[in-house]
Amino acid sequence: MKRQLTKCPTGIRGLDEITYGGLPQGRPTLICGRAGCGKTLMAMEFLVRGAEANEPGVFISLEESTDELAQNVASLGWDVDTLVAKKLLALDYIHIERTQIEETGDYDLEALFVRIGYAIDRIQAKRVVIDTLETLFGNLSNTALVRSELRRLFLWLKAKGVTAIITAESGDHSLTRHGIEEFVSDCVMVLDQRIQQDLSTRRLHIAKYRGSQHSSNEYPFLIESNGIVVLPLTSVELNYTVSSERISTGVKRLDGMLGGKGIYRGSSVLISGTSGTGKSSLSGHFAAASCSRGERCLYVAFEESANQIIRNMRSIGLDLETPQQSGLLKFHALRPTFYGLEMHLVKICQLVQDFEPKMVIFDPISSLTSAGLFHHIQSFLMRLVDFLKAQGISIVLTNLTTDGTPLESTDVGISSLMDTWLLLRDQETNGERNRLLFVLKSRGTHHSNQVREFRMTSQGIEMLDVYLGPDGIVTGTARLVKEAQAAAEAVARQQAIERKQHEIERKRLIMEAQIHALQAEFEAEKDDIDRLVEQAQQHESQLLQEQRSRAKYRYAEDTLNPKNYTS
Amino acid sequence: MSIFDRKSQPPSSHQSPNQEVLDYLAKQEMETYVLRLYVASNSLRSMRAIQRIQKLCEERLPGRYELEIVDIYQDPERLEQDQVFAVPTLIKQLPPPLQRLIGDMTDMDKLISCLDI
Repeated sequence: MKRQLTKCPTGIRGLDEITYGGLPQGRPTLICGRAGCGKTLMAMEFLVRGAEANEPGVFISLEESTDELAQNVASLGWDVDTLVAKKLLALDYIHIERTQIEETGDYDLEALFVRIGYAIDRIQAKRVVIDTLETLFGNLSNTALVRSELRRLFLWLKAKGVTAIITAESGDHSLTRHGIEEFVSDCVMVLDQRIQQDLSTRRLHIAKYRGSQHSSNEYPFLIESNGIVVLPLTSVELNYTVSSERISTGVKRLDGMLGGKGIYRGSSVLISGTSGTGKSSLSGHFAAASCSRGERCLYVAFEESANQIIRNMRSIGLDLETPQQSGLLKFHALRPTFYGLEMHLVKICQLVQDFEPKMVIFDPISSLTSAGLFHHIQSFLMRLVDFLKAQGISIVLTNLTTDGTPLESTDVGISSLMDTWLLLRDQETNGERNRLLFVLKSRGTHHSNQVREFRMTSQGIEMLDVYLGPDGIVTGTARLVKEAQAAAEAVARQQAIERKQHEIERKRLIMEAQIHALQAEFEAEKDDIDRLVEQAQQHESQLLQEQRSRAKYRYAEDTLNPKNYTS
Repeated sequence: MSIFDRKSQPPSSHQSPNQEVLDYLAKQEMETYVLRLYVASNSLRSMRAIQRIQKLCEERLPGRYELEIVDIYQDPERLEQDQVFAVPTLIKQLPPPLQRLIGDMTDMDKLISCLDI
């Protein structure tokens, strides 16, 4: 059987994920970091969470008195006194004060071991914290002795079989000021607090973890109202289930542009554009559509207050107040600089967990640039999008494109993360700006390649076909003019056709009249000729009769054809 | 008993200031020392410390000292109260001020000056 390192779950949110299960069971772990980076708190939470899981723990404090300690953590809702009373926690303050100690020769720290051992045995502790070893170095002049005793301490703790956390101050060039990490072979965690752009972020990384896989990334962590939260950079693997259900964007013709059905549930939509192109209005439609489906929507506003958004949306005929009152819509409005990015992430994640929305809108993400550096924002958004998508929550992000930057980019570099990208643009012609929208991309849907003009009316956003004339796209009043022109031309063409038709009709009538005239003429001539022919025939027969009578008279039969006598 | 208590008993008027100082010193010298030595069973350092302290007390404080030897393994609960973390630790409980000396007492001069004997 393969022997695997057993791990002791710390119970600290996020920490067990990045250590793949917790700290090495029955072994000491070193936490090092500068003053104020949260070492004591992390160590204390390890014990408190242990106590909750019925694993008693001992806190050996070399720095703060037990009362101070209890007070400091009470604000996090940890009731140390009750845990002590239940024998799930023991606090021991070992007071070492240089001024009260005289060194008169060789000594060892056996009494410290005995005290720790006594505390462990008294409550059958499984977890031990020693905070912080610096005090020993600071107050005892024999550093060599302290070092050798610490080596012994780590071995002794291991032999005791307790899972221990030992804290130490970090040095300038080494993990700890006195090189204690040399003694700890199992697990070393480094905490750090950095200030970037006036915002401080605490970070954690695992410098060493023998016998276990661990991530070597730096993870931001927060001291929240109820403890520490470590935020795994990319805790969510890309294996979430996807929905093929489609949801409306709230603008009918926009749904039409997106294959007729809108966006996929749980996908991400980026609306980008320069200022005043209607990003917020469009996201307002998304919100209203979500609420009208009876699904909760969280609106995270970084620039406007909830009331301002409600008022502005009312002006384009969107009522966001009713869903807000009925609890379907929740606003979370605050300045990006109010916290660091990590705090924002935690707050949003908490809100999402409490409120359980089906859609989350961030308006606008570009203002986060004031709260962090580019790659921080990128990782923040990546984690945020992953977190929300993993739960099947649809995401709408708006991004303000500043003038001069290419339209097809975001300041925060997340366009590639997005499933659908709507680009808003304005076009200035004839002294007016008109808004255009087009679908830059939409993963997995058949979508329109056409640019649409959209107008904000008192009944909401209205999409119009743009007028594509010989001179390119024409919008706004110019479009109206062009349309009128086109209409006039069409009328003219129609009239021309009608005119031609009249003309041909007239020609036909003329032709017919001429035909009649000719016929009449012909008839007249024919009558004349007939009459002449008759006359001629009458004349002929008269002549013949006269001849006959004359021949009869003369009896000259032989000279005449007998047939001529019959008639 | 503290220094301030002692001062609250004014010396008799016929004595000279010099005499007063001498009396004070004499009185102090007569004070009983209450010492407590924490040791780790019979480790070498501890044995050495016990020997040295006992020898010093016999020489300098004959008949007016109390030396208690506490084995840290036997009475671990007493360590917290006296804030002991190293062995050997000598606690001078009386006369005030309370003092903590750690080590095997090889530095006799320091021991003497610290205990003020």
